[in-house]
Amino acid sequence: MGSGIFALGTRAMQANQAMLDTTSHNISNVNTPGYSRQQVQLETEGGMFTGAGFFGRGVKVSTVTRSTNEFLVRENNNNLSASSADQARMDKLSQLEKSLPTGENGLGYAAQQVLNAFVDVANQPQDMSARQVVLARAQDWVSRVNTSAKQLDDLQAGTVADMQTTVASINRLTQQIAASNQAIASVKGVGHDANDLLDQRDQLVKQLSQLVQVSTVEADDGSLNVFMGGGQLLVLSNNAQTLGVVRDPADSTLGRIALQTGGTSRILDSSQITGGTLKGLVQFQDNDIAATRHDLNAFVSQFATALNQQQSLGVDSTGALQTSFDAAGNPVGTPIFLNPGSANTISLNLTQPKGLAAASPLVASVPPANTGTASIDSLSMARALPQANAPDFATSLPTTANSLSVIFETNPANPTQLTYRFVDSSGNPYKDTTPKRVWTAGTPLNDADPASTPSSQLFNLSISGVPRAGDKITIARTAYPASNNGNAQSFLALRDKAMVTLDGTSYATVTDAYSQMIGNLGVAVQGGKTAASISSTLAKTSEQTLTSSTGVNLDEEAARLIQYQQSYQAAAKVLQIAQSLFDTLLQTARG
Amino acid sequence: MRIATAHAYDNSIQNLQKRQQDLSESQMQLTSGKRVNVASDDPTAAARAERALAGIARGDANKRSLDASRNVMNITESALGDSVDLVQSARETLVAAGNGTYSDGERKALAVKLREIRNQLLNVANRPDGGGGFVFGGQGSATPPFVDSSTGVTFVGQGGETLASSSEKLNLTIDGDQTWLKARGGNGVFTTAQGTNAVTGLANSGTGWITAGTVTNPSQLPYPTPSGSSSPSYSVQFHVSGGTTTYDVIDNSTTPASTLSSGQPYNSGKTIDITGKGMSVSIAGAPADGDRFNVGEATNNLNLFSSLDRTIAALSQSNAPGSSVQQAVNTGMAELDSVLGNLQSARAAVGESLNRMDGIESRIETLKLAAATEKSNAEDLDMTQAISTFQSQQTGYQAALQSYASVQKLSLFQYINA
Repeated sequence: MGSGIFALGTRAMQANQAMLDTTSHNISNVNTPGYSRQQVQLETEGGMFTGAGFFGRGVKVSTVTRSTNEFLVRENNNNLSASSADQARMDKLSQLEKSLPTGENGLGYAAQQVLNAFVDVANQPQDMSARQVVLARAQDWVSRVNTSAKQLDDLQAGTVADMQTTVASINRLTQQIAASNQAIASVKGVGHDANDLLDQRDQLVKQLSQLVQVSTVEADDGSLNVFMGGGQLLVLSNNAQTLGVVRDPADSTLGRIALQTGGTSRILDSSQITGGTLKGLVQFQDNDIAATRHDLNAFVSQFATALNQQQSLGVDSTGALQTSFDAAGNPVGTPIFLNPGSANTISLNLTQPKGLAAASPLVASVPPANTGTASIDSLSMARALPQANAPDFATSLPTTANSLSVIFETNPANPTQLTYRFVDSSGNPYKDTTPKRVWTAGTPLNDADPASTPSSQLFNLSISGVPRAGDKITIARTAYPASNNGNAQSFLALRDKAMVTLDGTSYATVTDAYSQMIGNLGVAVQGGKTAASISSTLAKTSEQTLTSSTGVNLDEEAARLIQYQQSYQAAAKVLQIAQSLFDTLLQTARG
Repeated sequence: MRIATAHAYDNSIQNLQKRQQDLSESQMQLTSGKRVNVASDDPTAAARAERALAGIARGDANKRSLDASRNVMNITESALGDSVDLVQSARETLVAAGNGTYSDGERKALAVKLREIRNQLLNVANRPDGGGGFVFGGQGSATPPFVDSSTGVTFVGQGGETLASSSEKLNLTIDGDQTWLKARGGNGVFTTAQGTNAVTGLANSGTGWITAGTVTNPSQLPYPTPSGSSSPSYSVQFHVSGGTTTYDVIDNSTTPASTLSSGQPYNSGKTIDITGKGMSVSIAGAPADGDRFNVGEATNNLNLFSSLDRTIAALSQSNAPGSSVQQAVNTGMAELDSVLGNLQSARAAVGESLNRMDGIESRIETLKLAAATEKSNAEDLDMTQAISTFQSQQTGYQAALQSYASVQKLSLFQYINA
């Protein structure tokens, strides 16, 4: 009986000692990342049957468990994956946003200013300094474009470098998980969970989830098999797969995630990567940079091509036409910009101010004998003036020697209408059409003729006022190109021309197109911010839920310490009583 | 629910950081004065501001066009003013030259004065615009556009006018050819001139001279000629027989020429009707037998300088018959009047366009202001709201710091120490 109390008290003390130990362990690890609160599981030692029934034999420590919740852990990992994917994309997006500056630093403003500079050229075509300003602004625009393109390249290179760092971390983590698996499997046989090892492994999986979304399956031997979101195996028991970053075979600037086995790389489809920093990076590379680069190149190439085209229609201040025709009859212009198709390599070709084609090759004038009120608004070229080799070079008018006249006549079919036709300086008809061209107020006169090759018009002549039958307008080659501003006016008209399309279908002016670009990018960044904020809130909430179940609360542990201390003291009291019982017995026996 | 101590601390720190970040963002907005610093702050507003900025730049560009045009038009206005004065003074000189008592020497002195005026007018016509161009340069010209050659003054350039870029018509030059060299001849409807003697085939030998004439019945006028038909001309032909002078009025447009009236008695200075054509002229002096005077349609090709040249030549003649001086003075005055009218209408057009520019300028300014307002509305900060937000964020941050300070003292360990 007496020895029963001793044993009982000792067991109680041991149990309380164990609980105090565990509580201290909890307190010690309050700040350890991934640590789950541990608890001692107690059970009664069982009863001893006597004639008087069962007598309890005290307490025993069955095991130490950790408070974990597999479901919450998994949910938290998934949320973390989503959050770090959004965060990684967001960080990159806010850098990307700087590649398309707004306001006076923007490409749209610079492009607009190139065109606005033509105002001074139009005002004083003979002033070389006004032309120089156009070239300087064009150079400024090219530099800004090149800078933006360079920023995109740098961002792309930085993204690939980040991918490499991320993949290196993933490889390190998967190896650690594999090692952890081995350690856990080796102690599986003892019948108790290796709580701290499990915590460590859970922490590794959590870190891995931040880099790439994974799913896990626990095997019978306690090891954890890890798969990427898309199903690709990363860790099987104690073997970890190695990932790498390789160059995209189609575009060497792009990085691709590949599985490296036995010296060969197999590129993983982007759909395999469903979350984590890696996904954010891949998404940024494949969508955001690509879209911005596409917009930038479309904007740059269409604006530069429009300017090149306009330049090719004009005459420079020395009177040289800017377009010649090759042997096949195709026009060959002298461009303002070289390589207009790429924002990286576009450069300014025109460096001589006198080479700027401010003059139009043709001028129109109203003879004083006209009785109507028609006056010339503008004469703009629709295509380059035919030169040697051009299909219609031989028949084209006007030439230096032979001017062209527009003659207005009453339409015999409808006397309220005027028709117009062209004659050369000898009175011979030029590109007559049947029925005759009918003059409509507000519609430019042109020489389009379905019967000739090419059939498209050479020029568009806008007039204001109303001509009368018998009135003429003379169209001649420009005799004084240094002081003519016809093509400069056409350059200025480009400000209002819807000539840039970002999506290939809807065209906008250069300003609107750039507004659209920064709008698109702004929306992407804003969307990225919102997504990052939402997913980080989700991640925070699930982390809170998880830690409220697995984390250590110091107040709780303090309370437990007191509780266990008192239990310990009580158990000690049991021993003391047992001892005094024994002493009493001894004294009785002695006496 | 259990609060994990470590997580609670992490959480508070995160919240504090978030508040600090918000505060710093507000501060940045306040210091920059802009609500939209990067496009993602408000993509729509950023795009709006971008377009508005382009509008402001466009306004500046339009203003430059306007200024360039206004500058040229001011110079043109003063040039035309000068030219009107000069033509007036030429006219006065011409009136003086008509004085029948003047000797050859006196007339020659007036001719010299006229030549001086002519040269001054040429200078005015070649007036530069201050930027390397010429205000009467048309659509491009030689430098300078009016060239004084042995055959007279010609316009070497392309007629018409150069326009500045604008949605409204703003001239950078005016058509010098039309202004100086293409005035309407005669009295505006028809011209009169000495013809050739029908008998000798040489110049008229009498002392008759013809006035510019007047329109008596506009409904009968054969001018302007309908398009497609050739312009008719008429002659007054004199017959002198036995001291009696009669005249026939002949229509030269028919083949053979038809006579509209014949054998009319001639009285010097009396009106002669071009019968049935609504025109009348008067001829003074004593025409010789066979002398002819022609009447034709007025065209727009009266060259101021050629007109002056002809008058100067006529006045410079020695022993000139009175009729030739009278004819020169009379024709010269009619032509100067016509030129004056042309210059004045050009001046009126320039004045009108200067006037219009004030309106255009105020429209440009209004549009620029609208664009600036739009830009400000799109991206500028509402200061009142921003300051109030900043204040409340500040208060929030202070409260968060204080609560952190008080909560972190609360721990059971504080109480079981003893």
